[in-house]
Amino acid sequence: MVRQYAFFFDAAACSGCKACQVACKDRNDLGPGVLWRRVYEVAGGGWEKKGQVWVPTVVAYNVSMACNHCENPVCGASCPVKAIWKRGDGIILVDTDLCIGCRYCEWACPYSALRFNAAANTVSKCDFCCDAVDAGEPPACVAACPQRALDFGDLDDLRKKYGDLRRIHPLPDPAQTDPALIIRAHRDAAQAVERGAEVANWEEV
Amino acid sequence: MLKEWPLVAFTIAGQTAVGFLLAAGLPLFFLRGGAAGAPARGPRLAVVVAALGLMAAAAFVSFFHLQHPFRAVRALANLRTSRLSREILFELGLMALLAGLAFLLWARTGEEGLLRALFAAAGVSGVLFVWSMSNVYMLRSVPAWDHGHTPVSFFLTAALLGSLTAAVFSGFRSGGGPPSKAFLAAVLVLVAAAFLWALLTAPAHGTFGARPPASLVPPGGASSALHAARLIMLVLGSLALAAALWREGPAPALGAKAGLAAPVGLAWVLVLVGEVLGRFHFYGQVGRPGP
Repeated sequence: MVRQYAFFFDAAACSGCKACQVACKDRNDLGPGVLWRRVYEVAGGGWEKKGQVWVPTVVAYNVSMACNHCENPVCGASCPVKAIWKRGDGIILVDTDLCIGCRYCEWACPYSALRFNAAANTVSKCDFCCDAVDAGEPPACVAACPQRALDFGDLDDLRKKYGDLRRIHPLPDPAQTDPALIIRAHRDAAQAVERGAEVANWEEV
Repeated sequence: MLKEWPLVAFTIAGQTAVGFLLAAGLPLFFLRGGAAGAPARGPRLAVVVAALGLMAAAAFVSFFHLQHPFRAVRALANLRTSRLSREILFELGLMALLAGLAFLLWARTGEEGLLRALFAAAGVSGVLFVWSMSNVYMLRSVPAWDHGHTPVSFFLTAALLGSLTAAVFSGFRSGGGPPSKAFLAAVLVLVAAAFLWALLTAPAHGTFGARPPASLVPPGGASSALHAARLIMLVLGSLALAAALWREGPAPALGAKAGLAAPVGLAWVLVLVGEVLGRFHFYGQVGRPGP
C-alpha cells in the first residue's frame, strides 16, 4: 500500500522539451496561463578570464516542477477554510467548492504549485492524475516524458531506487515542507549558486 | 502589484483604525482623571464609532480580494494552523468589542469600570490584530516578507496614521480642540522613524533590506521609484508637520479656520499617500504565478 505518492525528476536527463507541461495541460483541460506542471529554465554564469584566456562559465539546466504533495503541506496549513486536504496516499487536493479564492496559498507554497484558475475562480493544482493513478496508470506528465526524466511511485520506493536528494538550485530548503520529491541533479547544479543562476523563463512559467 | 489594492486598502485602514483608537481613545478613557473626572460620553462615542467605521470599511474592502466572498463564512475554520484565520478572528473580535462599547456609550449605560475594561480589551485586540496581520506575511516562502521589517512597519503605520488621524479628528469633533504641540511633535518623531525604517529595511530597495534569493516564486513589480516616492512623501509630510509646530499659539487642526487647517491636514494626506505607496511596494515584492 502506498504511504506517500511522490515524483522523481532527473535534471540530468531533462532536455526542456516541455512535453510534461503540455501533457498536463491537455489531460486537465487547463486554460491559458494555468500550469500545474512547469519547466523552469535555470541559467547563470557567463565568461571568466583565466590568465590570457576567456572561458565560459555558463550553467544551464531545466527543472520540471509540479505540486510535490509535501508531507508537511504549508498550503493546507495556510488555508483559512481547510479547502486543501491530503488523501491517505499522500496526494494533496483542492476542494474547489470550499475555496474562497483568497489566493493566500499561492504565496505560502515555496514551489509556486498553486495556480489561480480564472475559469473556476479558485486556486488549482496538480492532482497527481489521481484518477489515472487509482486505475494503475501513470500521471500524464510521467507518461509523456520522452527522456524518462520523470517517474512516480511511493516515496520510500523512490528513495531506494534513486537516493534522497530533494533539492536543486533554486528550489527551497526541503525542511520547509518535506516535499515528496526525489531529484537527480544536473552536473551544472553544483556551481549554480556561485554563478548566480536563476529562473530565466518567467514569462513561460 | 496593482491587483493587490484591496489588501493595501484593508491593511492601511485596519492599522489606521487601531492606531486611531489608541491615540484618540486612551486619553479619553484613561488619562483624564478617575471616574468622577471622566469626560462626557459624546467624545468617547465619537472616537469609538469612528474606529468602528474604519474597521468596517477595512473589512468591506477586504472582500474584494476574495473570488467567492460568500464562502468566507468558514474563514475561522482553520484557527489551529492558518494565520489568516487568526487575523480574521482578531479583526472580528475588535469589531465586536467596539460595537459593544459604542452601544453602551450610546445607550448611556454601563459603569465606568466596564467601559474602561471594554476599551482596554478592544485596544489589546487591536494590537493582536495588527500583530496577526503582520504574521500573515511572515512566510518562509517569501524571504522579502519573512523579516522584522514586516511587523515593525505595520505597527509604525498604525501609530503614524492613527495619531495623525486623531490629530485631524480632534479638530472636526464638536467641542474638540486642536491637538497639542507635544502631540504633533510625537507624530513628527513617528514620521521620522517610519522614514528611517523604510530607508534602511524596506525589502529589495532599503539599504539593509532583504534581497530575495533565486527561487521558484515569481518576482513582483516593485520598483525603486515606488520606494523613493514613498520616502519623498514622508519627508514632505514631516515638513508640513514641522510647519504646524512652528506656528505661534495652539497647533492648527482641520476644524479650525482654513488657513490654520492646512498643515496638519496636508501632513495627513502626504503621509497617507506615502504609506499607500509603501504598501504597494511591499506587495510588489512577490508576483502571482500565471494570470
